Amino acid sequence: MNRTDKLRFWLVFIVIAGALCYAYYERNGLNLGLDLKGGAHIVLQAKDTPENPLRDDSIDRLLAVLRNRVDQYGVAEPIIQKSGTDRIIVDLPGIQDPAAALELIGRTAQMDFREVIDSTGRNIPVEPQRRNYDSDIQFVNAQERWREEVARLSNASADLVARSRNTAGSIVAPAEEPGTFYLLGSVLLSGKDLVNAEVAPDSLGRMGVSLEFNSEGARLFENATARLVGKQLAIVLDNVVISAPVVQDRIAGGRAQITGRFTADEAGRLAIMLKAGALPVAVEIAENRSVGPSLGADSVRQGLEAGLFGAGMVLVFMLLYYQFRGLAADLALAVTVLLIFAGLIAFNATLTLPGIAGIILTLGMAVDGNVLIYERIREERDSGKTPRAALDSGFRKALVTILDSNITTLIAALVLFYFGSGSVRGFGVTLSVGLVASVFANIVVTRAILQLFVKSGKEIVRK
Amino acid sequence: MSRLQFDFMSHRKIALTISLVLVIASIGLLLTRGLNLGIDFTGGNVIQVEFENRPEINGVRSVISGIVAREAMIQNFGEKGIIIRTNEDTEESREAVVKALQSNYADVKVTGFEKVGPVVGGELRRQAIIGVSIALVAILIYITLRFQFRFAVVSVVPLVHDVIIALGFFSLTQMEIGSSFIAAILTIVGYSLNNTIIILDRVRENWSTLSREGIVNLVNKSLNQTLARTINTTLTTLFPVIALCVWGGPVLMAFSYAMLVGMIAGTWSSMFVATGLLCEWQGKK
Repeated sequence: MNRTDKLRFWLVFIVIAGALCYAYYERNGLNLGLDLKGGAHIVLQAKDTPENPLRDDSIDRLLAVLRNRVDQYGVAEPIIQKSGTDRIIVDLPGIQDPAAALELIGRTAQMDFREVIDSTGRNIPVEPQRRNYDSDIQFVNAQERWREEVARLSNASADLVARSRNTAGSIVAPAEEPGTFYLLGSVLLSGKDLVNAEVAPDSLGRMGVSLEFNSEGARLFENATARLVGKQLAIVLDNVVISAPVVQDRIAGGRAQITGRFTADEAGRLAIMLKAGALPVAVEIAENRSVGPSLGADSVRQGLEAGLFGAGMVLVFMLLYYQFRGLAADLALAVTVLLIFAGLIAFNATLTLPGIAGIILTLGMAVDGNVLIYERIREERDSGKTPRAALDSGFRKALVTILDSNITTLIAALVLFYFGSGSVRGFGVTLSVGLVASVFANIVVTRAILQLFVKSGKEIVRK
Repeated sequence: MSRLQFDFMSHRKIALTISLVLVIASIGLLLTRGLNLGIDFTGGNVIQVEFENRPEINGVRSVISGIVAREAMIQNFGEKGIIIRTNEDTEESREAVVKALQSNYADVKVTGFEKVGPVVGGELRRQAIIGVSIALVAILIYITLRFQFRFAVVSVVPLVHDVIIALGFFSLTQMEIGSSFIAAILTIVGYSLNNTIIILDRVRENWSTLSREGIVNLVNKSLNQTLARTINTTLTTLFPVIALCVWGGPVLMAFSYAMLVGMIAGTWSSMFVATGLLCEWQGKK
């Protein structure tokens, strides 16, 4: 054995031992994509509106608010990052209720207190049902009255809209229960003066949120309530009136309570949103992918099954066709898989479902190098060379082919990595890592193993 | 097997005609039937639900028919699941569908949903086209540097051939195409090219005998020398792909079949299209 061969043995030994140790100690470092472990992937698109125009720092402020909300909601290892100039990606792994999470991060949560100037007063009555009336005539009359009432209410809200045009700073907002519209004065106090918000049931046991203002907010709130005794004060969230209580007395001390039609969960989310602050700009949900934990687990199981069957067939085929040299190829394949996982951990890559498919494909393509080498060695042997010489020149000639064919595939894989997004990108990473790992296994590991065979006197070429 | 010599190239005109017919048929299918693009490309909502006792698809269709304005696509998914795809990309539309299902079926469970806005969909289409084009150009440059320009052209033509046939297959079966399909197409490109390069590499190695043997014999010799490798590697790559088709599960279905068709087309095109074109081109001189 010459010097290069010894070096090769040591290289193989060190790489395998290193990869084994690394993969063992960092075995929790393999990131599973949301499509495998379940969770929500939400892409928010910031929108430029006249009220809240997009500025240079809008996205950074948006990020801060979203981080705050998600942290308080309590999601393990969330990823919240900027994407491009006007998008934010929010990955929430493992959450059970994606709809609630969406509600939490997608809502602007702009809260204001405003004076109620006027309202349409009444909710739209329930549409009459035939079974509640004795005769057809009575029913038709009831329907007629109902239609008139609906028309009157919609006229009334149109009237409010017209009046709001003549009143500076006023808006028309619907109530949470459909039907009622309010004409509201300018903002008396807004969410930015809040210092705390907590879930608190009111004296009747209804769910509510208690608010605590800073000194500026406390002063404004006291002035407003002093002026509006006996009148209605509206609490407006994202331009919807969630409650409009009549002010009984001047409220000093900077504390207030809002009650609406909340469930405990909704009140909890509202408190988080109010505390974390309103989103600085309006957002739109550009993309939203949620995978339940069970679907993700199914995918992992099916991917593993397919991988094991595929790998099994490849291993058996190589053993049958190439016999003990097939064993060398199979060992090299095992090294390839080990290196792929170590590489994925080292690159901090995320394993996605297409990524698993990429690894499975790599299994088939990885032995291509062995096939090329073995067929080449056979040709060299056929031309009359000694086993040792056939081995060397076979490897040398196959090396060029292996490099050329793998580099061209690597070009495609790198393009996927660079231009792809999400799971496609994950696929590009696994494919690239797989290609590099398999080339190493082919030309270094296989050779080291075959040299052991030659040394032990085995004829490595069929005659 | 390795000692047998096949005269592949005497049939090159037939092989090239078969390929041409398949490509034209695929393009015809693409123009007339089009592709079944998933929401990754078009935008829309996908809702995946699971039932204890899965109802008939028509039942589900009638439950949600009043809620979504446009036609919804409803498919069985796995053993207990159903996938509903609508082209409406609002949150409200999704919530309405889920509510309707929940009030009609007590045993329904939402296992996942996806929503893609129209902007993202358009971007993905653009990304796909740019990505595949850049990959092809980069590969052309690499082969031109390593081999020669003529080899680069005859190895890129089969790639286009394989991609068009894979697309034609998806147009024929109307299987849904998602973002992972781009990954499948680029892998097919990589794989097919791999095959072509290995054969052309042998042609280059035998190139010194060109004036003595003529291009047809030279290509035939190279094909026969690499035949054992071509067969073995095709088998070892097909095993995992078949395993993916059979056991890989519904999420990977389209990806797996794209790979299967692409690999078969890729092996064919490396053996006959790339080499056949090289014979024709070289023979003209």
